[in-house]
Amino acid sequence: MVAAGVMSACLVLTPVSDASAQQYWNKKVKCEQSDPEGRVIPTRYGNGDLGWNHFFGKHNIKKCRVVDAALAGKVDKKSGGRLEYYRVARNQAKLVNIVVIVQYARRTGDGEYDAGKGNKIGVVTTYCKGMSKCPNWINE
Amino acid sequence: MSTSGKETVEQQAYLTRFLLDYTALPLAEGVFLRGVLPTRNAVRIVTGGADAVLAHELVAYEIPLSDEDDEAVTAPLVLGWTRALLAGPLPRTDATVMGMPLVLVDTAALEPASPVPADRALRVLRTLAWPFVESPPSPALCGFFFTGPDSMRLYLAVEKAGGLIAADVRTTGALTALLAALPSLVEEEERWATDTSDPHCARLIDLTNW
Repeated sequence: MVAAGVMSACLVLTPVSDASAQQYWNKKVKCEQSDPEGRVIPTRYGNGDLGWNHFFGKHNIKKCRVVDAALAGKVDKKSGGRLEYYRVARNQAKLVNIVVIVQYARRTGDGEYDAGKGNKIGVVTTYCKGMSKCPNWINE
Repeated sequence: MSTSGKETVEQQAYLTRFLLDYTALPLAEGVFLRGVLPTRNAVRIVTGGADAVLAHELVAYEIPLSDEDDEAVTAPLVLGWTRALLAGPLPRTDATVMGMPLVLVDTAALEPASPVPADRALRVLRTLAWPFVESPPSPALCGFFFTGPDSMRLYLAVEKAGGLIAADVRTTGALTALLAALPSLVEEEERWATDTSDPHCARLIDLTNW
């Protein structure tokens, strides 16, 4: 069951050009959520390097609400433009800790991507703590 | 400063900061970054040998700040385009700036070169040691130019100057004090001079003997 999820997820990964990643990232917003301090945080489609197209396959997160639920809580860690939001997802007795990494700045920390004037990069990645792929039930 | 002026300053400061490593790391065999000259809508990437300071030893490549879709260009692209240009013969040009050949780069027609292993390593290290910050320090360093073995020109955004101040400094002497005082010194209007030979600044300030 997990293997099937992995295979279908691989199909959506966008190749990242080594030469000029910036040219190939899709800035279109897939999801958007405000945090309690009024930051409006987009999740952009991005590419295999960051954003929705990165974590959809790589970390098996396929619903906006998984990301948005974490963003709706307080910021758990802040360093410059880099913000972290945590949320615990629960399915009966099973728990996973969801981590959302946000760049609330125009450019990514490595200077590779630019969201444009007045815009924020938004969600760089989302993952489940301690595992590379989240369990399928978090998307249910 | 206008919104577009602030935007330009921010972008030039980001590009300059990103490219600093290439003053020591070659862009091509034996070719280094010898300056970043800021203009209204572009940066001029000055390249030359390790110690080159004379105009005939240098080439300036003018890269627009926006692409054909009006998207701001990023520093990795500027680096990739510069490397791609250096891999080929020097394009024919009749234009010059400060005595150097000036190549106007058509970025739409140029495929950026792939990063070399050192670029990738720097991407990792720089992001952790020196991540991008949205507000550059004040005054923002928008460019620089090596003028001698122990001297350089710094292009600094000073709001009340209505443009960039070019500050000539030495890299020897009481540098800690000079660098600490620099943000104040560049604001002293009585020190401002006009340099018509340098189109990249509104005013010039000579701090080589400070």
